[in-house]
Amino acid sequence: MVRESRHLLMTVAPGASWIVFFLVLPSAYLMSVAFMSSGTYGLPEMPLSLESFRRLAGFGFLGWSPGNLYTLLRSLWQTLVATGLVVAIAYPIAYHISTCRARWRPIMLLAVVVPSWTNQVIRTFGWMNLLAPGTPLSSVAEALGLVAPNMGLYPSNFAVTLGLVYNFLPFMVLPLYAAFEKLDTAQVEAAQDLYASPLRAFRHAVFPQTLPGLLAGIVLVAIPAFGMYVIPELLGGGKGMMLGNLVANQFAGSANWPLGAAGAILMLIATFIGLFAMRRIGKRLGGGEEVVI
Amino acid sequence: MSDSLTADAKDENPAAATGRSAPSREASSIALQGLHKRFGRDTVALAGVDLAIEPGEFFTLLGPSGCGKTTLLRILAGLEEADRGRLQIGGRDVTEVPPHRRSVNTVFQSYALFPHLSVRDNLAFGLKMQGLAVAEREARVARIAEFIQLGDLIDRRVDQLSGGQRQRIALARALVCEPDVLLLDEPLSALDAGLRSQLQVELLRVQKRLGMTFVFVTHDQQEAMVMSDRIAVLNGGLIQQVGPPRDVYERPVNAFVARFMGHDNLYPVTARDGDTLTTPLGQLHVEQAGDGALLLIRPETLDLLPGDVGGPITCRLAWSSASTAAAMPNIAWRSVTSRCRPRSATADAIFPRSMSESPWRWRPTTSSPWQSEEGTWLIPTGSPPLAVRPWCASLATC
Repeated sequence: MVRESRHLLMTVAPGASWIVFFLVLPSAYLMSVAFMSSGTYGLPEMPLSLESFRRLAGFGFLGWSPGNLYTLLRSLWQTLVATGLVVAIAYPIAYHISTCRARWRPIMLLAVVVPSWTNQVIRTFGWMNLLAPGTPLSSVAEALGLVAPNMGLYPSNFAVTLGLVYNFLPFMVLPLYAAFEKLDTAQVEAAQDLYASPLRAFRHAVFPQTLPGLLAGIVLVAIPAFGMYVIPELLGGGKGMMLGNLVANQFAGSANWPLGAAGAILMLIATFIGLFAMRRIGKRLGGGEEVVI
Repeated sequence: MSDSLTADAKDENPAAATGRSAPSREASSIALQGLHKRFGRDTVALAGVDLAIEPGEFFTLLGPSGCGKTTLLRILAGLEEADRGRLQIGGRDVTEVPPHRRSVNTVFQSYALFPHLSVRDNLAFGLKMQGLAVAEREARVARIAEFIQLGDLIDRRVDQLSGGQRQRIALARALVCEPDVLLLDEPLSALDAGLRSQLQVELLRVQKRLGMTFVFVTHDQQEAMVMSDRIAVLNGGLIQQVGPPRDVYERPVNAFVARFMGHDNLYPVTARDGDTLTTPLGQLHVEQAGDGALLLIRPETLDLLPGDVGGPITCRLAWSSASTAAAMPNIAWRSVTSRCRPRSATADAIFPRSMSESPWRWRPTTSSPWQSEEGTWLIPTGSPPLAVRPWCASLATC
C-alpha cells in the first residue's frame, strides 16, 4: 500500500505541481487582484473593491462611456468573422489535399504549415508593409473606391481580420485534413445510393464525419483569436483594439492592474461560454454523440 | 396496416409484398451490353461484359478478387461509370443516370451505416431523401423492422450493434426503399460460418417473398451454389460462364470455371478416338460430342477404399477431410480427389495416419461412371473466353 501510494505520488506530482504553480496560483492571484483597488502606479492595493469591474463596464470619472463595450463587441465580431472565413477557406483546402495523390499530400500540408514557422510578429510586420498606403494592394483598393484616397488598407479592422485569417488558417486545415483523410467514402456512396443528391450526400454523409475536426479547428482558432494581442496591436491602429490589447495596456502603458485582471476574467468567462455553446452545437449536429473538444 | 410487409408476408403473395405504398414497383430486368471499365492506364476491370438478368431472379456474380464483379455491381448502382457500353434496368437506359435517381439499392460489404444516426434514422434515410412524409416513413420503417425481425434494435445506436445485426440493418435500410433491384456486395463475407448460413437462409426468404431482383456478389462458390437462381462466373473482367448453379458446377466451360467451382480432377486428354478416351485410368467413354482437351472427373462419383483389390488403380493417400480425400496414384496423374466413406471402409475414424502408407483404390459410386456423362465431363476447347492470366493459361494446357 505504502509503495503504491508513493508510486502514485511520484507519477502525479510533476503534472500536479505544474498545474498548481502555473495555473491555479496565478489564476487565484489574478482573481484577487481584480477585487483590489488600483494604487499610485496602477499596482493592486487594499482595500477590496469592485471599482475595476465598474470601470470595465465603462463607468469612469466622466460618467459612462461605451469604449470598453465596443472593444468587447469588436473582439467577438472579429473572432466570429475570422473563424468563419478560416472555415470557409480551410474546408476546401483540406478536402483537396486529402484527395491528392498520397505522395503530394505531405508537401501540400507543409506548404500550409511552413509560414507559421516564422514568428507571428514578423509575419504581421510583413502584412503592414503589404497593406500600407501606396502599396499595390492599397492602390488597387483605392482605385476600386474601397478605401479613402491615401488611407491605405492598414491600419483598419479589415487588416486585423485579414491578419487573423492568415495567421490561424493552418490550425483549421490540419484538424480538418485529419478528418477528411479518414473519411469513410462508403458512407458517402451509401447516401448517394439512398437517393441523396450530391449536395445532400455532403450534408448527411461528409459533413457529420468532418464535424469533430471542424469543432477542434474552431476551438484552436477562435480562442486564441479572441485573446489576440499582436495582430490588432500592429494592424488595427487606435480603432482596431481588441480585448487582449485592453488587458495588456492595463499591465503596461496606462497601468491599472486590477482593471487588467478584471478584463482577463471577462475574457475567461466569455471563452467558457463559447466552449459550452460549441459543445451543445456539436452534440446536436453530431446526432447526440459526444464530441470531444 | 393491411398493406404492410408483415401482412403480406403472411398471405404468401410475393407480388403484393412490396406494399401498396409503391404500387407499380415490380422486379426489374437488367441488360448489360459491352461494358468496359479500366482503372488508370492498365488495370482492366471489365473487358466487355454482356449480361441479361431476369426480373425476380437471384443472380450471383462469382469470381476471385479482382475479377471485376464488384466493379460491375458498382456500375449497376451508378457509383462507377462504365467507359463504354450500355446499361438498362427495367427496360430503361440508365447508363448516364446518377445513383440517386436509380431505383436500385445496395447492401455494402462494409455495411456503410451512418454512425451518427440511430438505427431508426438509418432505416428512414432513403425514404427521407425521397421526400416521403414523416408518417409514411415511420410506418414503413416499422414494417421493415418487423419483417427483418429487428425487434428492439430499432432504437439502438449503430456502434452498439454486432456484425450480424449491422448486416441486417444494412439489408433493411436498402429493402425499405422497395427498389426494383437490390445489389449485395459480399454482404456475408465478414460474418462467421454459423451466422452466415443463417443469414443466407434469411436472404433467400426475403428475396423469394418480395420477388425482388437480387444481384449478389461473392467469391464463395458454395454460397453462390446455395443461393442463386443463376450464376455468372467472372475472371479477368470477362464473363466465363452463365447458368444455373448445377450447370456451372457440372459442365464448366473452361478450366478456370472448373477450378473455381471446386474441381481438382482435371486431366489432359492425350488420346481420343471418337467417344473413347485412353487415360491412365483406363479406357473412358464420353457421350459428349464435340471437341475437348481437358477431362474432368467429378469427385462425387468416386469412392476411395482401402486395399488394392478390384480397382483399376492403386494409390497412396495425400490428404483427407471428413468427406473428400486426395490420393496420389502410381500413374502419370498428379492427384485424384474423390468422395470418401471412411466409416464404411474402416471401422475406425477418419483415415488413421498409418493408413497413408498402405494402398488404396477407387471404386465408382455408380455402376459405371466411366461410361457416362455422370462421372466425367470434357471441357470444350476454344469456347467461351478464358481469361488471360498466367496461372490460368498454364492450367488450360496443363
